[in-house]
Amino acid sequence: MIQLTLIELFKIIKRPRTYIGFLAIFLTVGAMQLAMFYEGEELISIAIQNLENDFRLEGKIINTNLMTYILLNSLIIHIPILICLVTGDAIAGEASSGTLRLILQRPYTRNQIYLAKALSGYLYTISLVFFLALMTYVLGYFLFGSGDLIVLRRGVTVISSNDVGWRFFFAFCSGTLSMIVVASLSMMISSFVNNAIGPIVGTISIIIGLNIIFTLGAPLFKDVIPYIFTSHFIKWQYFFDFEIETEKLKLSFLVQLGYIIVFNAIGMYNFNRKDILS
Amino acid sequence: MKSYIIILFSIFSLGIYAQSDEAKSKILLVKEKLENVPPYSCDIKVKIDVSFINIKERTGKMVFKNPEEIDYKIKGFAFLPKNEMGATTTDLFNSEFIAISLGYEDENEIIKVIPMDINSEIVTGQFWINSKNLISEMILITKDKGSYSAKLDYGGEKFDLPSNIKITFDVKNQKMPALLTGDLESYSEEIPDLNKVSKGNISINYFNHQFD
Repeated sequence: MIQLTLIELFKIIKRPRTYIGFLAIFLTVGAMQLAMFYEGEELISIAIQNLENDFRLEGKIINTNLMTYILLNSLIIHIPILICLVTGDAIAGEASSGTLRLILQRPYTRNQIYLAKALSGYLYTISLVFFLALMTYVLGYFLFGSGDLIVLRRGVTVISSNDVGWRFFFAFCSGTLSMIVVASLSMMISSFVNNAIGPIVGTISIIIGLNIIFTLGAPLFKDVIPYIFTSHFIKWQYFFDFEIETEKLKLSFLVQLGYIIVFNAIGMYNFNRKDILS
Repeated sequence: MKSYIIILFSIFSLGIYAQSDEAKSKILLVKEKLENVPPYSCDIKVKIDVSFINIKERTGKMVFKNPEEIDYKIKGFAFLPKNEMGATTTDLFNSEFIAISLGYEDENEIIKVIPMDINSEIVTGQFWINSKNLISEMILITKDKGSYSAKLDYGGEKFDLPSNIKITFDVKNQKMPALLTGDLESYSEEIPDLNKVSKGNISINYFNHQFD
C-alpha cells in the first residue's frame, strides 16, 4: 500500500500541473504581501476607521500574523481550485489517457488503488496548505515583523503575539481538513468521468454554488448550513476567538470527517464498478 | 417695595458673581497644578471594557512631556482613550470660561465650567474638586464625540499625579463588512443596531514614576 502511494506520489510530482498550485500561491502571496507593504496602512484604515474615531490605537496593526490570517481566507475559493487541478485528474486523467487499464492489471485491488490515489492527493493537499502557511508567515515576517494579531470578527479581538502560534497551528490543521474534503470530492467526481476537465469544473462549480447559497441565502438555510461542507471552510477562524467554542469545532471536525468518509466510500464503490473496457 | 426688590436682586447677583469668581479661582488653581507637572515617565497598565472589544490587560510606559504631548510605548497593541484628559482639560481651562459652583458632594466641590467660545469642541465640563484642589471626577460633554467622564484616584505620587484613571465614554456599535473580515457566517446573523451607543471603560494604572 505504501509502495502504491509512493508510485502515485511520483506521478503527481512528475506532472507539470502539480506546480501550478505552488506557483500560484507564490505569486498571489507575494503580490498580496507587497501590496500590503506599500498600501496596507490605507487599506487597513478603511476597515478600522470607526475604531479610530473612538480610540487612539497604539501599536503596529499590519504584521505577519495579520497577513497570515488574511491570506488564510483564500481557503474558501482559491486553494480548492488549485487542489482540484491535481486530485480531479487522479482517476479521470488516467482514464482519458488509457493508463487506467494498465494500473488495474496490477495485483492490487481497486480499493487499494483508489486509496493510494486518495492518500497521495491528500499529501499534495497538505503540502499545498503547508506551503501557503510557510509563504505567508515567512515572507510576512521579513516584510512586516511580528506583533499582536487584530481579528475583526464578531467585534474586535486582540491576541498577543506570544499567543498566536498554537492558534495558527490548529487553524492550518482545520484548513487542511477542509481541503481534504475538497480533494475527496474531486476524487469522487473523478471516478465517475473519463475526462479530467469534468472533476475540476464540477468540484469548483459545487464549491462556488454552495458558497453563494451559504452567503446570500444564509437566513433561509440557517438550519442546513452547519451540515454543508463549504460552511466549514472558515471554521479555522474559530481558533482566533477570545473564548474558543470547542463544541462547534468538534462538530465541524465530525461533519468534515463524515464528508471525507462518504465521498471516499461513493468514489470507491463507483471505482469498483467502473467500466474500463469501453 | 420696588427698591426692596432691586436690593434683593443686587445682593443675589453679587452672591452668584462672588460664587462664580471663587469657582473660577479654584479651577485656575487646578490648572496651575496641572501646568506645574514636570516631564516624567511611568509604567502603566491598561484595562479596557468595551462590549465589542476582546483584549487582555496591556502594560507599557507613558512618557509625559506636557498635556498635549503624551507618548505611549505599549507592549503589543492597545486601545487608549482618544481624548487625553490632560490635553482636553487644559484646552478648556486655557480658553475663556465661566465657572459656577454647584455645591458639595462627599467633600468635593462640584464646579461647572462653560467655555465662552461658541465654537469650542467641549460644550461643558463638570469637575469634582477635592480639598487638595485635585480633580477627583469630571464629565465632559463634547460637540461631536459624545460625553466622557473620568474618575481619578491619587496614591500620594509627587506633584499630585493620579495613580489610576477610569475613563467612561460613549462608543458606537461596530460592524465590519464581512468581505473585509472574511467572517462569512455573519451573513446569517442579525445586523446589530449601528446607531446604538453604549458605554465603554478604560482603566489606566500609573506607577513607577520617574521625573526628568
